[in-house]
Formats: sequence, structure tokens, C-alpha cells
Amino acid sequence: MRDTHRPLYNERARKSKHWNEYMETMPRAELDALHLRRIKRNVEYAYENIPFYRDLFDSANVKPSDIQSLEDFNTKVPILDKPDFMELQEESENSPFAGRDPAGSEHHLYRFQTSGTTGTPLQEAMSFPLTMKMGECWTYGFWNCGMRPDDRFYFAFPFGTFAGFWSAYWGVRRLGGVVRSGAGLSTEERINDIVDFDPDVVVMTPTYATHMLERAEEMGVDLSDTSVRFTAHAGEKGPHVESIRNRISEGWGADVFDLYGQSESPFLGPTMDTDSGGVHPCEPYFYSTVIDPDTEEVLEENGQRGEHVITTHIPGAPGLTLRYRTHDIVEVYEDPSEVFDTDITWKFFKGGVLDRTDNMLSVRGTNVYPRALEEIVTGVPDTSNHYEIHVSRERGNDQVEIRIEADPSVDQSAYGDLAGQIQQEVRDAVGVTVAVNVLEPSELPRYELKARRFYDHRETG
Amino acid sequence: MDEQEVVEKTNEVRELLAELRDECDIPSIAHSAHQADVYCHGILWELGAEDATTPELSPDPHGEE
Repeated sequence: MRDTHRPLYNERARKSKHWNEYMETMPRAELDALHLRRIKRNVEYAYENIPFYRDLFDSANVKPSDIQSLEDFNTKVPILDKPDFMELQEESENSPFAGRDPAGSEHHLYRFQTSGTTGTPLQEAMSFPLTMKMGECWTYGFWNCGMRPDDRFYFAFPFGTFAGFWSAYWGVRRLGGVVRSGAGLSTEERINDIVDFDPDVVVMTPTYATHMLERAEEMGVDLSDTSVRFTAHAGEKGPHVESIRNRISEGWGADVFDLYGQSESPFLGPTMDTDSGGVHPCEPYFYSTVIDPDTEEVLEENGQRGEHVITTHIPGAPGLTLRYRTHDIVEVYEDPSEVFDTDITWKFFKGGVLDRTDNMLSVRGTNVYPRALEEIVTGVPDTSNHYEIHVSRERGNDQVEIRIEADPSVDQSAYGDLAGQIQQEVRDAVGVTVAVNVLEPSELPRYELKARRFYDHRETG
Repeated sequence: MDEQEVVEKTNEVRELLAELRDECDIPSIAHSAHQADVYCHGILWELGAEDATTPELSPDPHGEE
């Protein structure tokens, strides 16, 4: 009888360095031509079919025919923010896509929503093609990080109304890997399951990765002795904070990777590439620019820092999205091959998301980003990476209090000295004085999904 | 196989799938043809050879525009 076994990939494809070398190494001029073609098509579609965008363009006195270059697009089309989409959603009686879905609701396959931590949740709907493409963004990252179809993936999170990790599942499905879901299990059960199942990759938030390490230690399990070779993360910026990345990497005995995404936008899905200390936006799916947040001027020189603005080429969670400000601060490299050891031509954000424009603090006249504080406090010996930053306003100044758990090996009598050391390191690094409260291990809450680190009490007083 | 050949063959497949989807009255078959077309659209998209934001907005290869 003829052997009918067919491998998933032929030998050349299996040995490919890239998931899609053709696209990942496309010269910048060709990439930009592709962006312009896709943008022009979407601008025309949006103007003709979506009243929201027609009104936007009319108010700016711009017609689709005015967009003949990326510069035209970047200078003539107004920038949108989340409140614009929220307003549109309310006008549409909370309908997902809110009139911006070109395919029509009969194609919707999944319904999700954002967490709503900053207001009303944004409703999201996804069709089958979208799930495939969202998965594809993860797969670019999986492949570049060295994960392959014969790898086994363990999902250490609940599948809920949050779309983020569903897309990771779609990514493994695209890759052809094996999925094991620990969704309904407790942390202890997941640890035992990981020991039994022998996964190569564990997908989870960075915070939960460290929580599992603590529980495993209590159970007498050394997770660095398991089969896990990679941990893949999303939802928080932890892997780009050196001290957190090192804790996860050493504790799990694994390489640590990050995917930069944002649920308010359709999906960013950049490749995970923490080896070179950053991420590549996934250029087949969206056009990415970095602007000066004050002047809105596009920054194009390697190493400039600014706010990331995205335009999606396909309708994502909230539909077609043109020039949406993410509020993420990034350090952009338009041509990473000039600076880094890479042949990927896609733009590069060194250090991932450095901070958020809406998180900036003003402490006695000094601008401070929480990310800077996080890096300092978690890097102090004898601390943990369980911390909270609380901000309040008194007499026109932002007041900052850092609450951080001590490492379990530290005696309580040393907490005062530790707090003083943290305070001194913050003062030396950013020039401001903050209050520091060192807590016992496990005093702060633990999270399976996004950890809440930043508490802004300024608006509520 | 080079990228141009991939594009040509994929376009041929999409024409056949459109015929299946539109002419076959069995929902199971029609939906499978639709989903196969989604993957074909994905092939073209990943090569920069298709700009329609979703397969539903691609020009109909089976006749009517």
C-alpha cells in the first residue's frame, strides 16, 4: 500500500529562518508602496461606506483623491483617539464595529470586549478571516523566536471575553503546534499538568509567570527542570523590564518572549523579538508611524522617541482604523538592519512599549513615567516584581507612593532599610522623592490576566 | 515555486472555489469552499498580491463584479 503520510511542511519550508521571508525582508520602498496601495483602497472604502469617516474627512476638507502619498496621508488625515470610537459605539447602540465593518455582521464569529478599566468596554467582533490573520501575527513571532510545528503549547490562562490570548490560540493553530489548555485549572493543577504534559512553550502574562514560580516553589517543583523552553507573553510590558525578564527566564529555565498588542486597536501583532530588545510591528497588517505627541509631526530618524500611531489594513476588532493614536511611547528604528543584527526590514521598537503618554506624572516639575519607576524598583536586590504605583495630587503636584513586596528571604526588620534604598535609587535615577512602602510577600493581589500596577487617584481626588 | 507562480495558481483555485460556493446547494460544501477561499485570500495577502481587506470584498472571480 502506498504511504499516504504527508508532512505539514516540506524540508525547505521547515528549515526556513522566517515564517514568510518574502514579506519580512521586503525592501522598505516596496513595503511603503504596499502600505500606500492598501491605505488608498481603505480610505476610498471608508469615505464611500462609513459615515463616521466621511464626516471626519469632510470636516478636515480632505477627499480620498487627495491621498497620493504616505506623506499626504500622514499630514492630511486627522488622528483619532479612543474617545472617538467610544462615541461612535454609543451612537451605534453598542454595536461592535459600529458601522466600520466592511464585511457585514453575518460574518461575525466571535464577540469580545475590552476590560473597561478606563471606561465603557469597547465591543469587538471577529470574523473567520480575522481570526486567521490575528493568529498569523502571533505565528510570525512564534517562528522568529524558534518555535516550530512540533512544539507543544500550554495555555495558562482562562479563555474569557478578552480577545488577547484567544489570538495566541489562533496563532498556534496557524503554526500547527499542539495546544493544551489549562483554562479551567487552578494554579497548582496547572503546575502539575505542565510537569505531566511536557510542553515546550507556556503562554501567559508575565505576572502570572512569576506567580506560578512562587506556587511551584511552595509545592517543591522546580519549573526550570521541566520541558519548557520558551515562555510567550502578552498583556503587560514585563518581558522588556530586565529584572522581570531575568526572573522569569531563570525561574522557568526558558527564553522569554513578548507580543506587543493593544485591544483598542484591531491588533498590532508585532513579532516577538526580545533577543534584540524590542519588537517589530507586523507590517503586512498595519501601517505604523511614530509622532511627536505634541506637534503630531512624524518622526523618521532611527532612535527617535514618540507616540505610536497605527492604521490597519484589514478590519480588526473595532473595524477599519485609520491613524489611531495608541498612547504608547516607543523608540523607533525605521531601518533596523542599519543598527541591529537582523535581516527583518520591518520597523523596530527598541525596548517595546517604553510607557504611555497618558501615564506621565509631574512630580515637582519633573516629568516621570511609571515604566522608569518600575525598572528601578524591581531591579533593587531583595525586592519582588509584585508592586503597585499609586499617584495622587496635592497642591498641584503629583505624589507617588510605591508599594512593593520584599523577597521572602528578607527579614521584616530590614524592610525600613530596603524602603530607604529604593527611595534613594529612585531619587538618584529620576531626581524625585517618592514614598516607599515595603510589604510582606503575598500582601498584594495576584492576577491570571493583566496585573493592575498603576493606580491613578488624581481624578477622583 | 516563485511568488508569481504561487499567485497565479492561487487565483485559479479561487475561481474554482467561487464556482463551488455559488453553485453547490449543500451548506456544508458551500461553507468549506468559503473557508478555503479565506485561506487563498491569506496566501495572496501575505505576498502583497491582494489588497481587499477581507475575502468578501475581493472582486468576484466567478463573474459578477
